[in-house]
Amino acid sequence: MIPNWSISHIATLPFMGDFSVRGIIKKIKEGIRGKELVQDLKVVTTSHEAIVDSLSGGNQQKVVVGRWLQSNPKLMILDEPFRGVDIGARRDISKRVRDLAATDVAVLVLASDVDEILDVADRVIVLVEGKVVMDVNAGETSKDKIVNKMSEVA
Amino acid sequence: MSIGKTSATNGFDLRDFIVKYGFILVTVILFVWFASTEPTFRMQNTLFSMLKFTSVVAITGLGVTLTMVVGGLDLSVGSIAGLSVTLSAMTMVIYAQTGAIALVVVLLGGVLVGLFNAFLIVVLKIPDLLATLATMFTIMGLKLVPVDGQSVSSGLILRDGSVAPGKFTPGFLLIDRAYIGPVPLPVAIFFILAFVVWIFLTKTRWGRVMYAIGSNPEAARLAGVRVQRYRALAYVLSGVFASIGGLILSSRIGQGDISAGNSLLLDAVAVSLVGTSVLGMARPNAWGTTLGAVLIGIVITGLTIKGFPYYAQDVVKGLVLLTALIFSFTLSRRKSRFVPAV
Amino acid sequence: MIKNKALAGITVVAALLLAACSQGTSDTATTADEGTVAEATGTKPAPFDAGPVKIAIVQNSGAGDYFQQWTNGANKQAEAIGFEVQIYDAQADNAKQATDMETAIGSGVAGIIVDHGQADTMCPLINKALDAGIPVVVYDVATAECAPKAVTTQQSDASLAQAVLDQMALDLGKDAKVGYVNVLGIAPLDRRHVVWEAIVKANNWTQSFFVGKFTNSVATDNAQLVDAALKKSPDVVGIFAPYDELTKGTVSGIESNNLQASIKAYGIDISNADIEIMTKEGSPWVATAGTDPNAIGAAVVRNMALEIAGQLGVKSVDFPGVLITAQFLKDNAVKNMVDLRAKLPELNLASVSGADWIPAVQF
Repeated sequence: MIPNWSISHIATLPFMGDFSVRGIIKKIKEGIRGKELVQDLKVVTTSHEAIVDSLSGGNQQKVVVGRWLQSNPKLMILDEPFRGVDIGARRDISKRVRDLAATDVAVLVLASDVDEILDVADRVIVLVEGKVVMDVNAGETSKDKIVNKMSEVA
Repeated sequence: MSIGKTSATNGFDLRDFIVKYGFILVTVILFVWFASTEPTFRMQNTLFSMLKFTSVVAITGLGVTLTMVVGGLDLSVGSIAGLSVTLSAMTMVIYAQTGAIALVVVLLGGVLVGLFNAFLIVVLKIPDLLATLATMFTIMGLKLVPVDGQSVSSGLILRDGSVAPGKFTPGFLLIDRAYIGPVPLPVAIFFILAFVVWIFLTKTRWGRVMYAIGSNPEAARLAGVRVQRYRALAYVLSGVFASIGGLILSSRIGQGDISAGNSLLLDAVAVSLVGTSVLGMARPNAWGTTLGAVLIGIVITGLTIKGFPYYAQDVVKGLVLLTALIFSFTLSRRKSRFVPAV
Repeated sequence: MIKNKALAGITVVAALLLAACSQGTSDTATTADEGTVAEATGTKPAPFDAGPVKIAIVQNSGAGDYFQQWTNGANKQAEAIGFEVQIYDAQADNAKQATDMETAIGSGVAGIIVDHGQADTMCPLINKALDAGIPVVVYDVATAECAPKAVTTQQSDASLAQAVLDQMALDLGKDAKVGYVNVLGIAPLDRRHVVWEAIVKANNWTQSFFVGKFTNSVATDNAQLVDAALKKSPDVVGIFAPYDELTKGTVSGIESNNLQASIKAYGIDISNADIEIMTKEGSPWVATAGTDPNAIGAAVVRNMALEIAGQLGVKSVDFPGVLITAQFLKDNAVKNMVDLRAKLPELNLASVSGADWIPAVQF
């Protein structure tokens, strides 16, 4: 989070190379990315030019996580993407993650909240003390099964 | 959310207006006052010599601005300018080289000191202020060693008893004395550099990234920015800008004056700080530094023509800086307080 | 709360404007010597007959005892003549002095006085002023070669040395054994050295020792040198040390060898501290030569006036030094510079560079 920066600026910071030609920033391209991010993640804001400080915490998180989702990766690793986020924001982020996974992007989500995992995952792997104790398709399991596995002592 | 919403009652917010345009207003008022009461002040010559006087401070201040953008501050700029004066004099007077070689030597000197600062800050992890303070003292002393603490001018008696063979070349002296049309060359250099820094900071990816580092280095790092590399870049650029200032100084003085650049640091830092508050941007920026330098130039020239003693000028400089600090710091703290809690 | 902040902002701006509005005067030294102004008898030539004439004084540094007195004298004389003076003080910053000079040239003054500075820096600008038709009077900058059309003024090192050395020759007679404390390579000291060599030769003196070095504490460091030299040659009868800090060191050196009864010291320059040392009971410092910075500042301004009026006629003016003996100080109960000026009117230089239309200032 960089104070007083607009959503567009935050969104493009990690990918400045893609938004500039010979170092000069392409404002229009940057604006489009900002707009897409606001639309795809349903960021509640007046505009993609709005200052991130003016957004709620959940929407700030959408911007910070969302900017990576917008960057057309081949593989995506998300470490606790839902931490400290309200239900609505979580739904919006996981929807965007699922949309991505529906294209040919591999997504690995790390989380410790089982509800979050079942929201977003196709395949669930449970690790206990560094060892795989479960590896199933999300459709073939349930919250209780996973919780049981997690509390097993290796 | 914004200040406007919390404090404005009927569309016009006086405080907001003062913060945004106060400095430009003060500049214009002072300018009009000096121009209307002192016919001398109105003359084109006076204005250009004022800008010429300002150019060294402004160019050096632009370098300081770059380091402030990445959240640091370069205290060694005055000593780098002083080093440049001695280096150029040594190259031309003692080693009898051309002005062009002197120019290259000086710029290399600026790069080297910048790299040294970067090494102290990035590799040795010394805080910016302390690292550049140490550099300042080191350079101030070090530059005196090869010249035995003497100012270098033509006819200097060297250690072995011989007379220094060279002199300041006419071409080198033109750096300060030439004109482009009616505009003195140093003023042209000043405006070109201000424009370049403005483009760099606001229109290029590198400037964008540097602002990110200055605002929140951790967030910048998490966004994949090579933070330390950019901080190093800022100090190298600052060194180069200070050495350009030193080149102009050297050409102006026409000898290797060992006291040159001593007063430059405070002025350069002051204009950069004043610059943060111009237009209420509350962050270091190229136009702000430029306007800050011109404002201080107007005040100093105007007061001199009005016959104020030099210490009155220092008092006014101090007040200008203080006002600027109140504008940007008091303002920015309030701004963050009015942001709804996350 | 917000309103209060706004108010604070406005107050600071107001304070800034007020500070800028209060009209300053160019008279910086309020406790300085007032001086008295003589009556002018002649009629003023052009342009002085048509109201105040604007000039600029471009100083390398206005700080310190010497320069404050110099500036005071210049101001007093300028006021008496009817000059309106702009003073540019570069605070010992050579680059600033250069831009000050440009501002002065651009400001349309009738004349410019350059007080100290580097010849390399100032010469091109002095020539620029002269080319623009502005006469320039320079004090104590070696511009004779690089700006031959400017008027150069300086206190005369030769006359300072001559005045005190004539007294020394009178006191010691021919064929005396003498010591010498000086540092060569510093322009004014080199000029004093030339006179010394001539006097030594003319009187057939034997120079038993020649010591001296220039450091941050000249008096202390040279006291040691003189002390050591006197251990070797205690039979000298007089020592010449042509700069008051060197003379002070020489006095300590003589006293630490307890030779003040047999050795006389001769110096150059005069100040309150110097007067105290010279008038002390049994002091070996018997004579010195000096000038009054107030009077020199005033004389430089008179030269400016003459040059503007086209009446100067020369390009170089020397301000002579005046002999001051310890005996004179004691006889007239002189305790400080104020007493000295009262008792020794020659220090005033009032007769130097005068004209019947110029009311000379005396201190």
